[in-house]
Amino acid sequence: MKKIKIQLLLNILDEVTKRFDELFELKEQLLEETNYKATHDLLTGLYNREAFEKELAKWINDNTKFCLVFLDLDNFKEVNDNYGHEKGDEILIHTAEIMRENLKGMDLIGRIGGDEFVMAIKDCDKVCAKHILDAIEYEIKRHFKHFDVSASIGGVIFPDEGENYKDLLKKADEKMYKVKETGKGRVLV
Amino acid sequence: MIARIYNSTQTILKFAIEDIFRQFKKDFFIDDYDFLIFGINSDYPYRDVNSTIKKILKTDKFVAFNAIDLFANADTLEGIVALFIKFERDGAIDTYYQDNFVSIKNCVNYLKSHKDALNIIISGVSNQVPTFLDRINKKIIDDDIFLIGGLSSGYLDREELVTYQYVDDKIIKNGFVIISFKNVEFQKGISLGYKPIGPIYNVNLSKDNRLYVAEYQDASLIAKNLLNGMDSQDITNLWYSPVVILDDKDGEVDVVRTFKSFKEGEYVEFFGPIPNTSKVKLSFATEDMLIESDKKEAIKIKNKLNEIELGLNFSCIARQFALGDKQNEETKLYSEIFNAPMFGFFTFGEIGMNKTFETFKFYNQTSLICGIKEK
Repeated sequence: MKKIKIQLLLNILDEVTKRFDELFELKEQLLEETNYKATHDLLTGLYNREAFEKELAKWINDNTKFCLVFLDLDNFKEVNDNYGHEKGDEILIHTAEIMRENLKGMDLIGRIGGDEFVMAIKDCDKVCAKHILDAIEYEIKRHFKHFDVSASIGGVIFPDEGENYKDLLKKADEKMYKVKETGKGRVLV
Repeated sequence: MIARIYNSTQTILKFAIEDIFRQFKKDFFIDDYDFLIFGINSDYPYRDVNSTIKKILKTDKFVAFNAIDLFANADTLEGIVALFIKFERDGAIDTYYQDNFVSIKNCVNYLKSHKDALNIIISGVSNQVPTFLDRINKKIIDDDIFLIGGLSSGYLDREELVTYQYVDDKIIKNGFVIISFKNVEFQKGISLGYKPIGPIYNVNLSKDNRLYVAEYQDASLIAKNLLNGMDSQDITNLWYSPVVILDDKDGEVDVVRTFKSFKEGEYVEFFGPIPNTSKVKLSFATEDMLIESDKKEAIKIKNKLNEIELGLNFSCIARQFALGDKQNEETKLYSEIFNAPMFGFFTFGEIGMNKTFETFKFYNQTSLICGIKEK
């Protein structure tokens, strides 16, 4: 009888341990979800503005060479106005997929505004960046030709064209605007 | 009130009743009786119970019932135990019985007319008992009626579980009898002793006594996991660790439920209902914890009543199993503390009041005790 009781208590302890494990897993899961929500754009799954900047700061501190890219969708507002926000959201999600497909896992992608995206392409010079970004621009134009949506893209190289994130972003933004002003749907690095 | 208890373990029914009658006749303290209650092991031929008692004692002022083990003062025995009652003042006994759990009208009327009495219920084993009690509860909620008792216990006889009651020349096979002590003072206690331990299981799907899904998992796993590593997979191994159903208002233990069986991948079954959406928890007690709880309740009753003329104990068979080597200590302890004759039996489920003494409840694995004296 004593043997049965001891085994029973051990089995109850197992049940308690299992429940603790479940609780611990649940806590980890919740923590992960909370962290994800705090650092990601929930529509596209890309980094949000703060998280992108934070990740990029590590590269800058390590003096890692990269190309910072500013991408803005052309005629996106018209899609929202004419086809509704659901269609607009679809285009944003698809744009994020195109960027992911054309970049490597170690590169960074973020959504920092309505139709504004940023990318950081690691260990990349102007020629390499131009090659990748042309492919992205081409894919976006091809996919969204029915909506007349294209991408204006500007890119700058760290550390050649700027020393900090703000400076680099400003310069990439200026290049992107230059593209917008000169006909849209192009890459300028 | 004079209460005297006699017993016999003679294997022939006639000889056992004669033995008891002989003891009564020899007793210097009692020469007459107003009522008799017999507890009879279900191995005796049930068809002969009424006629044998009637023939030998030449009376029909009795109720008998089946029980595997019976309490006779400080002893626990298999056989026949008889309680002889002689009132000295205005004490009296009424009885009520019915052979079904369908109609509640007459039973409610009877109970309402016995508000001040100590009503003792002895029922047959049926899954309908908890529902029947719930239906009565709805009709008596503010009536201050007191009821205590248990389900007769017995063995299987050709697929028939012999847990009958015998009254008024009848054999009640699927019903109950109520014995009402009038003009008596009484105090009652519910001894539990099990300490809730382990995780809480939220019941997601249950029906009657079967629990199907708890914590969104197959509930049979609870029993299976608890039996893990044991030489025998006998479900009685889990009688040391019954589940407690927690009160949905205060989170305290409401009732205990004893494991009955489990079917892997389907359900785990208990000796009482598990309400849907309730919260249950495992529990555990050592023999000493059970005895300590008995002692506490018995002392409470003794202090309130001071002098006790008769003690009653309705104790679950699974509790007795869990008491192991200390099985005899429970009734011995009650007998010592009450300093009075003790009568009772091993039940297949107890019937008592809820915590606030407003409604009737079906219990498992408890010892319901009561001290009585004539007013």
